[in-house]
Amino acid sequence: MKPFAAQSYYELLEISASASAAEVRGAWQRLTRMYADDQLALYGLATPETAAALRKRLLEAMEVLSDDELRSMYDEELGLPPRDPAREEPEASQLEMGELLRGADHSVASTHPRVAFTWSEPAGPPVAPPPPPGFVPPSTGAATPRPSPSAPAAELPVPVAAPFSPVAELPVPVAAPSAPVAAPSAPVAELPVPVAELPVPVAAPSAPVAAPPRAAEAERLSEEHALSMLPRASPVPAPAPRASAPPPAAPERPRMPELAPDTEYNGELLRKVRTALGLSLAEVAERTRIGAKHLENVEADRYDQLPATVYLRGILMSLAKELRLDGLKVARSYLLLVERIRSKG
Amino acid sequence: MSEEATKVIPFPRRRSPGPGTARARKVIAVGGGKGGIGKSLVSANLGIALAGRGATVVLLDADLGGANLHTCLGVGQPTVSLSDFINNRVARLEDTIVPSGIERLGLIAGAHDGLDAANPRHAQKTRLLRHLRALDVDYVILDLGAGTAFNVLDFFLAADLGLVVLLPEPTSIENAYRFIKTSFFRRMQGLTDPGVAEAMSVVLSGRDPTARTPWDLVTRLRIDNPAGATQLEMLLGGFHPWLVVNQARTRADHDIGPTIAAAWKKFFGLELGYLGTVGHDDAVWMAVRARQALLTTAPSSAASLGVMRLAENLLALDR
Repeated sequence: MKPFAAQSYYELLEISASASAAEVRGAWQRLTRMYADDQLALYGLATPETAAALRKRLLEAMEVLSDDELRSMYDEELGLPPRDPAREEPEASQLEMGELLRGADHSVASTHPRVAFTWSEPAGPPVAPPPPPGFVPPSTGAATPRPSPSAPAAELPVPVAAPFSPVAELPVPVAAPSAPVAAPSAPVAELPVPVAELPVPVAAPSAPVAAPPRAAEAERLSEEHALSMLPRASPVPAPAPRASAPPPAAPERPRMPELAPDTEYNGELLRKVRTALGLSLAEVAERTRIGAKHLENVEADRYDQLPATVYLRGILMSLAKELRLDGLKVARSYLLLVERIRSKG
Repeated sequence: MSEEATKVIPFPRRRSPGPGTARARKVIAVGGGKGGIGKSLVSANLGIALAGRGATVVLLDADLGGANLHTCLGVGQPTVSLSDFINNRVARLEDTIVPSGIERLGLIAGAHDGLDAANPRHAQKTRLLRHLRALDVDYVILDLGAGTAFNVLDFFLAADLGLVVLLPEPTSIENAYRFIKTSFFRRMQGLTDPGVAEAMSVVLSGRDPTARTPWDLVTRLRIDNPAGATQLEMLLGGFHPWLVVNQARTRADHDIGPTIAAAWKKFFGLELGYLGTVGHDDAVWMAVRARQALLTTAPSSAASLGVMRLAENLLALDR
């Protein structure tokens, strides 16, 4: 008798389909505690194995539903109408530093850069929207709008390429920005589920949006700036071709590997497809909002370092989409490989 | 087990109030697997609390083997009891009601003689239930015996409301689950359609991929076996026991009722209500020692307040 095995993630967590990410995690924490091994209420109702299976399902549900992208895919699978995450209440861990500190210490709050912390994988810093037509950027280099993702970012010395910029670059005391990071992880530590089971690593602070570029970068950025101020039909800053530079890497671009219907998609093949498309790892990381480290591990076929299957599936689907491949096919093929290797080990 | 004992008493239909028809508004059964968990204490004091709220109540000591509800009420061994009705020495059940010393609360003392009364035959049970329903009172409270014998389960299932008393300790919780499960299976024996009964056993064993809970089976049957679906639906719909946690000491003890109800639903997809918790209280054993009712001797004790909350929650169910 295991009805919970067939329950949807929403039913499992006993939440509505419109629950916010914070509600998802709240429900998960409550239920994981509720169905812990030392729970008296389960005595005679469920075996420790059944309870463990339930907790595993709860964890899976939490992982999927607290990740926007995975949740959207899951909702689609269930046939739910698309959600609008923007309309959700912001959750504590995603509040900006200033918001968190407001009231506690106003002076500190006001001097902090606006750093957004997310629970998901550290991706690149949020991309500033492209300037509207006729937009005149401020003259200071630091506030330069980032080139849109369509620009060949690899060639540009923008901070986007370094999603893991060291915290030390922050113009504020290191201790302060790390504090809110610790906060979302704190309740996790209390749970009976070992933290190690969590395939979602607690996010390191992503690169601060307002991190001042180094002097050289600032110079080049202001060069970009000048370009972006030129009258243009499209609001999206076009690639900035350098007069002397060869046309974007066309000659060196590796050939697209042959893809048969029964092709086995391993990391190596995915890497080949990516390079054939002329995409850098950092670009894919930014567009998919998947941590570069995960992508690297996927491409290097380091199966032992990959996150749990449920999370990995989402990564593969997103990656495949970016590589213009069939997400389902790629995910199925890759996961089969992982399964094979993992079961051997 | 004789063939008689395995027969299932038909479950109650909603009565329509009217002249000449049965009037007992609600029959409440208090059970819960294990002995010594406070079934009699809860029954007696729930009766007092409901009577105190203006309802007319009859308490029936249905612990056919070890009746002592009268002691919980501070009443001496009555001269007339349920035995007299079961053995046809008394024609009408009303005539076995003795005063409890509390206004609006009557008592039908338990059978205290012979094995006959401890194992009434099917016909006797049916007659008892018919007479119970005909009592002109607001509530009839059945104080059931321990264990999961069919006699106990049948009274539990025949009631409009089944309360399951448990203590926050492993032995009691284990027995409470066993009691609920056994009474559920007993209820499912009432399925006369062999096809439905078979499908149900597949669902309950978790081997049906399309029906996760008995309710999914109802939905599926609705298409090709509407009569079977209706029968199953009625059997399932009426199965909604309510938990009462007794002798709660810690904060966790107070949380255990809602947790059990939620866990039950999670694992079986069946309803289980939570009525309330009675805290552990020295006033309880002091009242028992003094052979007094808890609610009369210590009305402001924590345990009394707990019982009164149960009564309020019961009344709220009727509103």
